[in-house]
Amino acid sequence: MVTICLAGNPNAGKSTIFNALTGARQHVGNWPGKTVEKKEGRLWLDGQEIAIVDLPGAYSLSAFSAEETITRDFLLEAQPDAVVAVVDAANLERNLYLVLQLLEMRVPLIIALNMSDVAENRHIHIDRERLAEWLGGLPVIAVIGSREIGLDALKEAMVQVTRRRVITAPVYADLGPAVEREIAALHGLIEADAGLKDYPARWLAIKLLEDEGDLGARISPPLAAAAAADARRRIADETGEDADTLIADARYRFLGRVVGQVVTRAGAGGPTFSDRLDRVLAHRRWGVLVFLALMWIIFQFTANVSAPLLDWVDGIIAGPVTRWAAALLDAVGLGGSWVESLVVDGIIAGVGGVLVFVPVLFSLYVALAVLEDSGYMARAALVMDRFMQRLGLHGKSFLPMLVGFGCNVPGIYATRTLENPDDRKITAFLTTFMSCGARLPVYVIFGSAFFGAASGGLVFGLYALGVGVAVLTSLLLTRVVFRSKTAAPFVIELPPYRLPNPKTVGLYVWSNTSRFIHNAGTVILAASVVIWLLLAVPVGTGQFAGVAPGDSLFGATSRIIAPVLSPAGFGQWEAASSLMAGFVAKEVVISSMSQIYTGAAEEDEPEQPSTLGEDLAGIVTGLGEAVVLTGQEIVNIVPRTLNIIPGLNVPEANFLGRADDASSDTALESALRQAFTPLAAVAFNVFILLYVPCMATVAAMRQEFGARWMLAQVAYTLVVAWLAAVLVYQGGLLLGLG
Amino acid sequence: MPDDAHFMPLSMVRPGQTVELVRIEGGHKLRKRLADLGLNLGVSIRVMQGDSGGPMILAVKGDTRLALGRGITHKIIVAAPQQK
Ligand SMILES: Nc1nc2c(ncn2[C@@H]2O[C@H](COP(=O)(O)OP(=O)(O)OP(=O)(O)O)[C@@H](O)[C@H]2O)c(=O)[nH]1
Repeated sequence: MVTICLAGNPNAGKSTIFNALTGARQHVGNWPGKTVEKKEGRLWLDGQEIAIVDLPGAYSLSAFSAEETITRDFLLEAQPDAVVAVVDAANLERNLYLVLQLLEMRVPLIIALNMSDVAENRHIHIDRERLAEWLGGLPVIAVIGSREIGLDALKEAMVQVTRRRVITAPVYADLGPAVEREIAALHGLIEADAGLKDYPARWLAIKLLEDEGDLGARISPPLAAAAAADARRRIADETGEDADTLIADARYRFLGRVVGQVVTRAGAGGPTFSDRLDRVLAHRRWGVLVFLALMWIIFQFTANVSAPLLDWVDGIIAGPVTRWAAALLDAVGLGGSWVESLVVDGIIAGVGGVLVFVPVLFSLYVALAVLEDSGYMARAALVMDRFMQRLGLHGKSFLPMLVGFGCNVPGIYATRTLENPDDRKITAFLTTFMSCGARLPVYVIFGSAFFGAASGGLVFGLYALGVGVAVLTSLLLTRVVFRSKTAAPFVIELPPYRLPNPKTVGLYVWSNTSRFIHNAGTVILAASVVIWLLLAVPVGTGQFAGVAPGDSLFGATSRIIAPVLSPAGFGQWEAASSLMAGFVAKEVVISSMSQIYTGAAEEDEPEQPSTLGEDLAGIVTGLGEAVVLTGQEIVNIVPRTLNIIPGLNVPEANFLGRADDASSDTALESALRQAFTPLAAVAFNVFILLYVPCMATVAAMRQEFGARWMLAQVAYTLVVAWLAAVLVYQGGLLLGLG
Repeated sequence: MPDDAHFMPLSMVRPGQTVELVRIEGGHKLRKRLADLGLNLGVSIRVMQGDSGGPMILAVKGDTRLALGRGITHKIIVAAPQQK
């Protein structure tokens, strides 16, 4: 099959173009280094199926970070039929630096001049024909990836290039007499070596002169590598500069000439809109304040604004859906049997209990998507750099952690953008303490059961605690475990601010929310059934599916573990079993609690029979109310925020004129209130926050860093979670909060 | 060519000033990394932001904006704009 890959600087728009070409839903964002793994999609073109590969962003074909190595090795080993170099037209000179290296590799190349709209807005005019000429006559296509403009021309060029398989006339920057002489010598040596015939000779010669450590070591026999070392010495003696400096210098000088002839810009190019915005957002004090304010607003959204919709979904699942399922089973003669118990107590309570949280996650993912696509992420790294430096890391380590708030798994992969392997390990370790979307529902349930409208405070506190534990862990790791670690320099590109693209935000929200729903339909469903089974199997006397949860197999096992947890205030077997279930995924905590606690709670709700019509009408009016209440909660962010200031007591809006009572209380919430004291509830949430996030993160840790590091992580999080929960509970008791 | 008296670390340059990169006092890796991002010898750097302590924001090659931690800005030697 024909393979075409997309290469380019981070944030040049590769993923956007990849999505537009293949229709694949790849995660797009506006921060450098978001694509850390290559992705593949398919495209029908010219009567045949073509594989399109999206490579991680690279500034150069060196091997400084895991992602750049992936890009370079793919180009070397897979030998794609064509490479589309995605170039940011508004940032041409620096972007062409990579193109120059691609030319040296002698791959069939197409230039996609992306962000043409941005360039135009800044009055940057690019003479495409002239540029094509300079680059040896290769196709240069103007594209606006985000609006899918120019894609037909791009596809046409792809057909042309792959059909002809032409590699245009060689274009090289003249690297100066000393370097060129050594290249010529190495060139001969490389071409004479049969073992190196797969490498583009000039490219390899330059790489060796640049002293690309891992390539030199990979070449056997190390003849050329040894010769390159001599050559480097000769160049340094002769010119007083190192070869790599001379090479970079000569390349940029060449590009300076190209850009000088190809680009015309009207106006002096004073400070851009982004520059002005950065005076506040990247300011060392205001920037931090804005960052904290943004975080606060996001937590308000996830904890309070989404609550009315959550109650609405919950009402549907606990009410009509459960009733309909029971009625249906009755109709086929299974009413009251173990099948009904499996469906109602197992599957609907388990999976439904998780699906209820879709509105919460939806608002979380919208917030993260807007942060990403607007370009704010790189600024967050910047304003947090000073703080991260104190922890022995730097600002870039902050990005995986921020991603971790959505889901820890991509957070762990996002550490690949870090150059220093020790930094990567430490950052991944810390990322699992960032409270992810799946943990949030647990806090929300406990929050609304115990703290009502103040639940935003609990949620915020837990997120902050996660960050705090990460801080202490980081100090422990950088000061004790990795004491010899050298401080890696902090350098990050700041992409221009962009209005978030609704399509990109939509895709991000969709892919994350659908993963959550997909999980509910697979992992959670399976776990719910398994938990139901374990709860149905009696230990000793009793009958299948007729046993009290406490006397079931699950209950008996949990009883063994429970005493370990009693210093933390939740030594009951129910809590222990929810936590055990939580190893699989945090969503399972909710689903197992629904089964365990509400199974144990008395059925105190009188069943009011209702018709299908009444149910449907109830669902619709419920939605209307939920929408109104959502608006109310958005308005109420203002008084809640002002009320943090001691002494202030701004009243909150109340659109429907309801008393704020426990009318929306769910069965699980009232069961929890009976099982936990408020203090124990907090300690339990602390444990949920800190212990092993889920199987998927454990697997990701293993894949990225090996089994030893993974085990260390599991053990560490368990110990920390236990200590912190005990500290909270016992401390609270001492302070008389019990 | 400016003489040595004009040389100073980038960290000392005030926002709004434009300077020229003369030398990077660091290992081969750091030099190469910075060059990849657009900080090569002789490049003209405009300091957009950065006061005591924190990272600096630079404009290079027209539209590229880079943020650099304080640590590295001490290692980048630049030539002050020639005045008078
Ligand atoms: N205005 C404008 N924005 C674009 C265009 N193409 C992409 N974008 C936006 O640019 C940002 C970066 O795009 P991505 O596709 O994520 O960039 P990438 O090259 O894949 O980035 P990495 O994954 O970091 O390597 C996103 O916010 C896109 O919405 C374009 O032609 N015009």
